[in-house]
Amino acid sequence: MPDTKPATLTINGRELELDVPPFYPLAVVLREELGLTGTKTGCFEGRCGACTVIVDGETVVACIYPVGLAYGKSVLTVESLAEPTGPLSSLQQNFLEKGAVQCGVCTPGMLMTLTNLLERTPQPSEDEVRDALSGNLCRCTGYRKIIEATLATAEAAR
Amino acid sequence: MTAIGESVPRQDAEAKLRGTAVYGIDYEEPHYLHGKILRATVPAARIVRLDTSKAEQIPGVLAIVTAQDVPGRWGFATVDQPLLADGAIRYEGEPIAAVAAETWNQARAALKAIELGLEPLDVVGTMDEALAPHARLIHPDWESYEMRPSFPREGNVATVVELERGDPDAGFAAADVVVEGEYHAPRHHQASIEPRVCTARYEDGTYVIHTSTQVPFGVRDGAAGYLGVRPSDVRVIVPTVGGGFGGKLLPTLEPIASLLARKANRPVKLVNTRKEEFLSGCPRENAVIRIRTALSKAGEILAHESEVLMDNGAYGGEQPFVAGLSPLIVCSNYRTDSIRHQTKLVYTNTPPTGPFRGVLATYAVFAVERHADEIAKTLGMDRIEFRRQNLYREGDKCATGQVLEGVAFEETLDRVEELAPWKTMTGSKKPYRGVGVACAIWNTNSAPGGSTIKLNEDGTASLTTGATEIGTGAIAQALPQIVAAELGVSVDDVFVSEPDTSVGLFDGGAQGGRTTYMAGTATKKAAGEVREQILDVAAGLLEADRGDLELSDGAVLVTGAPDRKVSLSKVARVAQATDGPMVGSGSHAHPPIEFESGCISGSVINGFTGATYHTHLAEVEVDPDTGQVTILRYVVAQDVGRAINPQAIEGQIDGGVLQGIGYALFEDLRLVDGVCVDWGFGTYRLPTAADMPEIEIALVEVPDPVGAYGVKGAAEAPIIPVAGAIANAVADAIGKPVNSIPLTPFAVLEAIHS
Amino acid sequence: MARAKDAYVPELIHPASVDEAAAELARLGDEGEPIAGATWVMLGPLHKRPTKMHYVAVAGLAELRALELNGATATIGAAVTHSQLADGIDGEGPLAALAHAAVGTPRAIANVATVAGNICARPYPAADIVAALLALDAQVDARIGDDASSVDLGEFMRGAPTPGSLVTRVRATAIGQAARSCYERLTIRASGEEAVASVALAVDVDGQTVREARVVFGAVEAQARRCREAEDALIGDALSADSAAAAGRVAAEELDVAEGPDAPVDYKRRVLPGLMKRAVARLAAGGEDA
Repeated sequence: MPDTKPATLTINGRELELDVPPFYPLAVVLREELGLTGTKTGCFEGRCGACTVIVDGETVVACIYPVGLAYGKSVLTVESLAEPTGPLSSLQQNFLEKGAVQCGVCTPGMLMTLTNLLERTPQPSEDEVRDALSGNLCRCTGYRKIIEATLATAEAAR
Repeated sequence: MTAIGESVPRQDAEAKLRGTAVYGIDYEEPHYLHGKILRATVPAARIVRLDTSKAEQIPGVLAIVTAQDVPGRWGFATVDQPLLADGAIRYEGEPIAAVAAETWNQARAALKAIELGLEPLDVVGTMDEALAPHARLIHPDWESYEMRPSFPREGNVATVVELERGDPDAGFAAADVVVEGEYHAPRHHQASIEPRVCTARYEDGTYVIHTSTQVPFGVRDGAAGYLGVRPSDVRVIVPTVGGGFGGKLLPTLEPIASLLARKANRPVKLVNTRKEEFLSGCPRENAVIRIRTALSKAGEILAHESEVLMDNGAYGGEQPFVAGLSPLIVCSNYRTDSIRHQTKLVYTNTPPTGPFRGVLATYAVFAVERHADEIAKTLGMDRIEFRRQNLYREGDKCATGQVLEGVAFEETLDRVEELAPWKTMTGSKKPYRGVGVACAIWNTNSAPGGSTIKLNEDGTASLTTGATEIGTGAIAQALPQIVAAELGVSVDDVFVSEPDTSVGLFDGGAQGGRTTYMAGTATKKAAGEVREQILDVAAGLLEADRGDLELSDGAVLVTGAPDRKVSLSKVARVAQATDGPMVGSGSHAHPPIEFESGCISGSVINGFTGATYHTHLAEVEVDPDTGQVTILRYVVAQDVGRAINPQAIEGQIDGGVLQGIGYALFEDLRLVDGVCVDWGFGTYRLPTAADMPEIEIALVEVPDPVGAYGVKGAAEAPIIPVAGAIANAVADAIGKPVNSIPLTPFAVLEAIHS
Repeated sequence: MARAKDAYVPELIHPASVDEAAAELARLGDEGEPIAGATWVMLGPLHKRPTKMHYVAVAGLAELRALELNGATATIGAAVTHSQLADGIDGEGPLAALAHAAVGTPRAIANVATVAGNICARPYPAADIVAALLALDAQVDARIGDDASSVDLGEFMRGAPTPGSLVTRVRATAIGQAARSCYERLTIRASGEEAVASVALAVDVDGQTVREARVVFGAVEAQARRCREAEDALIGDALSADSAAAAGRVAAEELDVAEGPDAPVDYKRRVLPGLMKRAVARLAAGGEDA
């Protein structure tokens, strides 16, 4: 009989031990067990992308990602992008300046998807940004200012 | 006055970006219970048995409520909707009972343990079925329902709006040409990413409700109605709202959570699943529009006749009231004094429909502007020439006979022409490419509002209002900018408290582009009061004439003598010590409008307030193999009266246009025999980033006589002309009329092959 | 204040090796299933699909994550993700169909959605990878305990996966010496959704003439379906828009289009010639989006 993995995972750099069933969605664990409500849930269908977080360097939609699959892994949420008392990340600052936030519920997921994109592809084309957002729905902004903020972030890092 | 017209960032952006903003879905109270709603899984039935006794035995279940527990009744217009199904089920998704339990899973188990006995009824699933002779009445007792205001109605027709002006029969008799068209539009779901959610508790005789709403005072009134208490016995507080678009106007979950909270004696949180959102979420109604226009050969409109059928779903909601706007838009854009119009709002066994950004104008303008292109084609006139000749001009009368002032159609056409010259755009026709325009006049909602401003001892200002931020920036940007401009303080030194109906003055809600127009104007008045008091105190302190003082950089200074100044902090402290804390309040209602009384019935909307003018142009390419429509170019010219924050307005235009593109091309909440087909984001397709074309924007500023600084509504309207512009472009591209939206690849391919 | 902790009761077993995983699954039989990205399982209740009481997590097993490419052949571990395919396979090479099929999925899903997940999900008419693999004559290697077997993907798709079995890898080969392949998916929006119709096309071309062809349609029938009649229509001619459209018309007659909420039956039938034209144009463009 194989070992059941210990329910230990690293969230935003902190190692935590959890007492939750393995098929609990990661998004629910983050929000309801750990109080990390920056990760939003909009559909529980894996289709709106508001709950996007980064697990071991890759984005996942946390509403349909069982926490048991994250055991032993590193999870990053929107709360990791800036120190609580520190400045916003460059991407966050560009979101603010370009007017890329409206109601803001999609924003954390957008930020995680785009932060990951800029790590994989530091100088994306506009089409690459649009493609990267194919799983992140925003009902408010029409995406334009989100795309502008991303390209401005890449430009500033050049 | 620097803050007006500046693109300052949102006050709430940083919290939203850091993930620290507390939305309705994030808000929790200590030891709250999880609520869940038992919803109908069939569209029409008689409830013959409802037994909750087994469910009550489930461990952790603290309260179950059914229709028997609902003390009151309420309706926005017609009192036709029970909070929980009372003997009859009239739509799939209708709430029947609700439970509150310690855990989510216990609540779910309790729902499963509720025993429900149903006798199926014939489903009246469509308007045709509802209007057929001898159709089953969805509300057999309709005559006994109270309706305020009282409009004509009968049986499955929930309300009738009629308008007649001039002599339409004579116009048709004299016509050289009569053009007729019938247009169809689908249900369209708001689909805010945050679902409806609320947390209620009962405390000292008051229901305290934290809810994600656009209209806290509306929720207060509706909840009070159902709960059988005075409005002041309900206190509604609004955390950060994750989008609304009209979907969060009416009370839905709030009274149910309140009943559960009182019965369980614990706070109760209710959250809709995405499926519940689609099933029960009052989408924009599907509609049929028929228009006949009598014309002279020269293109003069001699008479206009129109008919609209709006699907109300099972219950009225706001719709009997909204239907009153129909003649203003369907009979609009083009000058004529002979008009006949009828709108019928029809009950069906489908989820109740409701307001969605732009309400009926999205399809009314689609119909009017498709019809305009058909007229131009019939007359052999250029489409722009027909519009320039017939669009409302200064002093023309709209459908109700109201004389229009500040008409800006010409300006919007000119600005579009500058960006996309019509002759160039249409000069060399390429196969399967087309260009379309659509024009619209739209109303700014003028429900009243009020604000209170206090000057703090540190020279900052705090604004309290019942007006609500739902993402548009009206509260996070425009109102602080107004206060900053009037008091000469930095926008960062203006604090806005969250809406709380027990604290803030009444406000008509975040709807219809009204927040900056109405709450903003009230806020300017409130700031003006504070400003007067500041000047009084400062004049004494500076020993200067009031008329020589100006407010700037957090201080009052004597014009021309920069060293003679006093800080607002000092002014506030002096005032507090001598007269008490400094406060100003502003209340604002729109003055009544003049129209031809007697021409309209079934409506309390007699004309436009804060009318805005719009021209959109779309260039599209159609793939003849697949029917896919690609938008190559999109141009918007929008009259906003005065742009308080241009970047925020651009954001509203971007978002409104993309919602309009979804509506024009693929969003379609389908029902088959009253059963919802599209209950998830899988087949209810929201536009993605790749669906967004480049949008070119021109803001036109024709000031409104009433709104502060000339401001008019800006956020709602950009969705309105989109379907018309795109449909006209598609029709141009394929050389066939396209009179039903959405223009899915299926529909377009069908049209090409027709 | 969390949801009930008994809401998600199934057991999640983390084996240390493929042998262990196979043994566990064999022991569980019908009570268990392998799980990788878990998207299908997590959405099971919403779509009223049956769920299991035991799941064996296989995504972490390095052997199953291996993607080996050798010219026109790919050996793909069962737990290779869509992202791995999209990033690892040349979008202009002989196996391009697989790369094209993998990019249609939003990244956050593609990062966890696996090849075995795609071929084991039932019913899943729009499974992109299945269509691409069928056009690449894929073989499926599976184990029940220590018993290994190999079966043609077409055969594998005919029933449900055998209870207790573990798919370990899939081998795909582009046909012929001058093999080229591509995949075209048609969506209603510009991105972010399952195809309403798709085609995987693999050809072996002799000069200008098509020597051999595989044509597989996805999201049309209840399952991805190879259409030999359309293949015959291509063979012996040069690839052109006309030959593609002709093959698409043949397919439209042959295929038994399934009803679904995504698009009308008539539409799916009607677009097949256009879809074929796009696929052939993409082949001509060397795999670039034409």
